[in-house]
Amino acid sequence: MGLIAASGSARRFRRSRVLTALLSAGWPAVAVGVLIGPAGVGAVTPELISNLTPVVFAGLGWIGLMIGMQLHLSVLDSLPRVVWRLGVLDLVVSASVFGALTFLAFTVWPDSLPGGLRSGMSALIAASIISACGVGWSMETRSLRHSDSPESARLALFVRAAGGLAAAFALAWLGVASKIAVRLHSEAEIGGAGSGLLLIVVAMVASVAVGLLGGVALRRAGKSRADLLAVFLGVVALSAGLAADLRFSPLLASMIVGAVLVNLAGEPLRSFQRFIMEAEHVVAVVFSLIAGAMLTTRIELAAVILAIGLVAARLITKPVIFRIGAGAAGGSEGGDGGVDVSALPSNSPLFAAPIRQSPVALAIAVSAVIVTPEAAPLLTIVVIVGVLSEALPLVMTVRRGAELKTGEADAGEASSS
Amino acid sequence: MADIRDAGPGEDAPVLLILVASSSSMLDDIITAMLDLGISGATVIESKGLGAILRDEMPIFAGLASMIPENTGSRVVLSATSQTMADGLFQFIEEELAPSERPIALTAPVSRFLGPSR
Repeated sequence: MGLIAASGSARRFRRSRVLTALLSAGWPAVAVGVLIGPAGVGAVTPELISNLTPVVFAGLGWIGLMIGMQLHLSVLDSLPRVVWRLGVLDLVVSASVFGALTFLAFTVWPDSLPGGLRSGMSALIAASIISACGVGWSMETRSLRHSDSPESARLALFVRAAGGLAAAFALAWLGVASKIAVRLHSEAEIGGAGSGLLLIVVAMVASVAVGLLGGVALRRAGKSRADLLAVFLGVVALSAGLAADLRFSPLLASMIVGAVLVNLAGEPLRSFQRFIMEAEHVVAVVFSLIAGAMLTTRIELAAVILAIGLVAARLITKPVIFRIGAGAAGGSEGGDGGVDVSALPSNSPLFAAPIRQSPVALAIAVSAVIVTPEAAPLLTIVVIVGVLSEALPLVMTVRRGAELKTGEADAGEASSS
Repeated sequence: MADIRDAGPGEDAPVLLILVASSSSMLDDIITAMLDLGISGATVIESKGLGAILRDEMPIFAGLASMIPENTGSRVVLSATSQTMADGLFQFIEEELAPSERPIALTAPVSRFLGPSR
């Protein structure tokens, strides 16, 4: 499936707006994963998935590195204020709303929730994971753009840029919140939350050290593609292994490594960066396939209700966050780089873009399952939320496309008569 | 300085030299080599590869990447020159640049040429 994703035919398929929406989110690969996994025909057994743990860690490391390598100080410095506002607003609202909903559900219905969650995890840990999954949105905008106007282009850029920033925020939130939650839950461990914070600091310092080492190795590798690949695999293995040892998020560890690398390595990093980014779609497909195979279909009704509640929360909060965050302060001439949202048709699917769940959520849920297998139902909840949250933007895209076609046909008829 | 107006048919026939450099460092090497060979006239156009355009609107994990110029930008160099000069530049590219640092390079025959007189 990775090879198919990298092929020219797959690129051709993605020119269709509807297929773009479906393929970019990785749902077909998740479906194939479910089909071949233990929940489906069983071609992929739980033992095989267990043996694939290092591959999953490498995949998580690649994704974290990819997100971290965007965090060049010059890029962050040049981001319009509106993108920062969107990112911070989304982090605060989403982490609070989705975290509170999950905590509430796991507290109110503890007996009806999956057994693994009751025995192995507290409501707080689940809330920290689900709240991180709720931060951000899908960054794909091709399927939602039906206009070439400057406002539309600017809004699409905000969807992508703020989504990218939110992905970094989500990983940072996950790494810190889940670690604290785990420590608060394990009261028997010496030090409690205090040693949890110390471990976070140790893990972060170690990640920075790996980044610095990687930078030196990259400079030594120069322009040789083979040497760059060797350095890359070493960096991914080291950061993921480090995270596994410290029971820290492999996504956050590798994101920190990527951020350090991109700011220190300089010229040799350019081709390395391109190499990492070019593999984005292939990595996403392979990762979605593995996520599908890890998914459990044995979840209780309460978990389904929670998932539907999370979708409803996305439908309500995300468009509001986006309209408030992306709107220009003081109109289109606002100095914060905002966009005059009134210049766009109110039914533009771009306004619904933030409803769609970020693909990073899948990676976050998989990272939770790989560390704590009891968290498997959380992955199912994330997949349900992801699939359902695609529906409204997809419907809006199809309807807007049909409206524009009808408009073009009417205009054609009018001009011919 | 060689001028395309001096180039005639045969070995020194006029050609349109087209180069696509995927990074600014690659462009720097090419511009230096062109000047060393005596090609002093060229037009450089900021461009984007098909892959970059496809990735731009469809990022999965890296939405900020489209805002990193080094990640997506390429340059197209156009120069009307002579076959001899183009051969010299191709020789430089093949002998001096590592395969991963080579630009896309091609020439096309030029049947007519008009330009400002210098």
